[in-house]
Amino acid sequence: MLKELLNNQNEKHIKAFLDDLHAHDLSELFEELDDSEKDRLFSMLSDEKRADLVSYLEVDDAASLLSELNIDEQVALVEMMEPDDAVDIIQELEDEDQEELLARLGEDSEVSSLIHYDDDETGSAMTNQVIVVHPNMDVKDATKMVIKEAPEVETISTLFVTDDQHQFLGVVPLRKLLKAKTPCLVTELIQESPYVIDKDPITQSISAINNYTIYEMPVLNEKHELVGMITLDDALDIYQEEAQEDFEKLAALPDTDEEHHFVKAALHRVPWLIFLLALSIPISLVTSLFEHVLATVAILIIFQPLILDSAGNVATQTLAVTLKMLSTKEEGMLKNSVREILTGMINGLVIGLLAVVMTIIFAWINPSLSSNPYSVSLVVGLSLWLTIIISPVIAIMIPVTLDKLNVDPAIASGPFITTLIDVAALFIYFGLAVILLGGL
Amino acid sequence: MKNINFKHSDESIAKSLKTKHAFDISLYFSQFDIDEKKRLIFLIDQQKLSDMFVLLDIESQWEVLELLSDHRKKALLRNLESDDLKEFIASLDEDKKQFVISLLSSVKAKTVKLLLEYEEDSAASIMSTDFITINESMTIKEATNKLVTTSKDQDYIDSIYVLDDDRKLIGVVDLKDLIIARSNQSLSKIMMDDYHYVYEDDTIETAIQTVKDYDRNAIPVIDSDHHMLGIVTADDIFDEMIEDIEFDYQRMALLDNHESTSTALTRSKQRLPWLLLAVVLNLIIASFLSIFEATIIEVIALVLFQPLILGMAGNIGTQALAVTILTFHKEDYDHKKMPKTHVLREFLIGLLNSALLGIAAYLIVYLFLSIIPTGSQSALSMAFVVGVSTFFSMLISASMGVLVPIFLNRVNIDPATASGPIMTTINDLVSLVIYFGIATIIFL
Repeated sequence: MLKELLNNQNEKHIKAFLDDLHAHDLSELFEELDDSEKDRLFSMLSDEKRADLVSYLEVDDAASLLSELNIDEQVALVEMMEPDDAVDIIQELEDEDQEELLARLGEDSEVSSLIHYDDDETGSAMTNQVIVVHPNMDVKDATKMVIKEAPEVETISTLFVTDDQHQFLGVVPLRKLLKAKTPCLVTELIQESPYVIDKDPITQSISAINNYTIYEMPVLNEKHELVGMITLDDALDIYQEEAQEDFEKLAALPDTDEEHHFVKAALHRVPWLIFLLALSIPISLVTSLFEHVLATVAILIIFQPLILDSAGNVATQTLAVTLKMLSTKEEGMLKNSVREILTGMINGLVIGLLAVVMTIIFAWINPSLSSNPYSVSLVVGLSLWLTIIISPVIAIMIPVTLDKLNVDPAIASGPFITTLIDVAALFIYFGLAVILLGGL
Repeated sequence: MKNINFKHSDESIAKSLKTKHAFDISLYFSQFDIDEKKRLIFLIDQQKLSDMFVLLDIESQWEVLELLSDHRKKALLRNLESDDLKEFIASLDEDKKQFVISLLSSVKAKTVKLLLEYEEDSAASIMSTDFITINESMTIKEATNKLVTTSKDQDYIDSIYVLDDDRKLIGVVDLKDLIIARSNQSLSKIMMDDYHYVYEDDTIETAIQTVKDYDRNAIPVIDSDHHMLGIVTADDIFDEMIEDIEFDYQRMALLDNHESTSTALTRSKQRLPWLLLAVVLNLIIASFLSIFEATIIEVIALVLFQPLILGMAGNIGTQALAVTILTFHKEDYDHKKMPKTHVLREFLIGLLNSALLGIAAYLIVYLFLSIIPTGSQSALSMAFVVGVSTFFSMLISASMGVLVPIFLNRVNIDPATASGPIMTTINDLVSLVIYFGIATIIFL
């Protein structure tokens, strides 16, 4: 639709159309245009519309768009944007461009103060455009202030109260302010409010926003001074990104690769697969150690997938629970670990017993496979029980250790755990076979 | 670990309750004994009680309600947002339901009965009816007055909804614009007429997308004639989204309703069915393997690389599955049609990666057997068998990873279930038949 309008050359029509369009819809139409069309459209937009459009685009597209503008246009655009959105985009710029732009924006601009935060710190997602009122203000003056500052801020539903030393005292919902009758001081309306700390992990702050159902969450620094707020809609977006990442990591997917050509997307996934392939070498090595017992008791081979699969399933469950706890920084890791291991013992026992029965029946149906069904079933059952006890231990130890070493546990744990557990399981399985079925 | 010390005087407990957020109190509520609960409910103020109430599970909610005097019961129910009230009533038994409805004002009772009729996953089922409407003929001053004088605490006021004389929704005014506006300006100046909304029978998924895409804190729910029925607020959307994503994540990891507070025994109970199913399914694998008994005994080196092939097939299958499940959450995904481009794309990716990994497996096996000779077969032919089997197993597993969830989605089974034991078993089975089949042809 936009394409046709652009080709019609009628700027008036286009402008009328663009005026009514929500920036989200505009950004989707924009992505479909080719480069020259994009340039033409962009030149037609007002600074405000540009800022809107840029904040809805994918960050790297927005960054490349921004880098094509001259420095004055860049400054104009950034100053029109919400600072937290601007920071996301500026961080994607080349180092030189970034420095130049930040220098022009000035040391004490809102963008400059936000850009110092790490990506996973709460401060990186906040906006510092908030309405701050003083406890000794009369409600009439506070209302005047709200009206004056409203165009500059994202929302006016919550006013933040700080004293002369910028110490955070609480909030006043706009609803209360509107209903209050002068003379009345702001201090009489103050409500206590949960708050988050700028250096805390963003995931923690997001769950606080959800748990407390706060649409505008105050962000304080370590000196208890108000530095900004995080809105619920930003929290929602960040939550979804983080959750998608967690999900992808669990599936050993490096990144979503929707946009690329299929060869690129394929090659993107190859390094992981090769890495996983290399990790299977130790498993082959362990098996080769037990060549003799395998050659004599072929039924062992037949139950090998059962042992490895069960161990893998149990490990995946514990790993998912552990990763969730690590990523939300939940308390009680020790208690959780004890429970996971206990769970493993119970499950292992049940599954082990079932496997014993199954193996006996199986060996009885296929007598050629084994002359000694009871000892074989004991080997299978016992091995299952032991591996299912060990699996959660490994699935907790590895991610916790990686986390302590500051390696992202979600992405690295899976393959190491699988390999380690396979190796351990095979040692237990074949080892028990050697012990229980005679030295061979 | 209790966060309220009941040894203290009533006065100091009441004081400490004032400083605590309802969410924090709700976390510990079920751990209090009955006397403690009574004291808590007696000492807490009415607003915080309502806030805490909506966060409790249904058993605790009922307990709270029973402990209250009739007067406070009514006050509590009056304070609840209509969607929370409906949620509570919907989870009660029939006679309890009637009892609670009898406590409501006739208007509220009618609203709740109406809300209860909506389908479980429709946008209307999570909507609230606590919003402010104004008539299009009102002036800015009248609108502001109505807002200030008639709004109740639970009402959503960040946006005000403008109706015409037939009570059809014609626009939305943001509170911010209303506050800034001069009183002599006309309402139509500050009203958005291209507001975003959902229909009552749209899915919750649609509501989630709309709220997220347009960064609104609430969106109106309308019927097909544009009559305004309610609003869906962003905090409810947030809860729905978390529920969705957690569900996928847990299914992917073979977990069912995991809570970090559940005991070892509960965890066992939840997980055992999956694990037991896997064990039983493995019996099928074992039966198939016994067909190849002769080959296995003859070519013992095959066992060395069996985990490699199964592992690689599993890995590529999981990748394809995850990508496919993620595409289901895209707004433009049509659940009734076969997503041809996605399937073709994933198939090509699978083909390419299986070929690359097949070659890699060939090289690894050749090197391995050159260094550690095992069995009587030549390293080259073993490497060939493993390489070719890896290629075919991975290709099939990748294709299944795409097709199985699409199929399950179409027959309305949750696709994340596919990552479970059934998928693993089919993959293992196919891979092993390919592996031992090729080996039988070449070595016997």
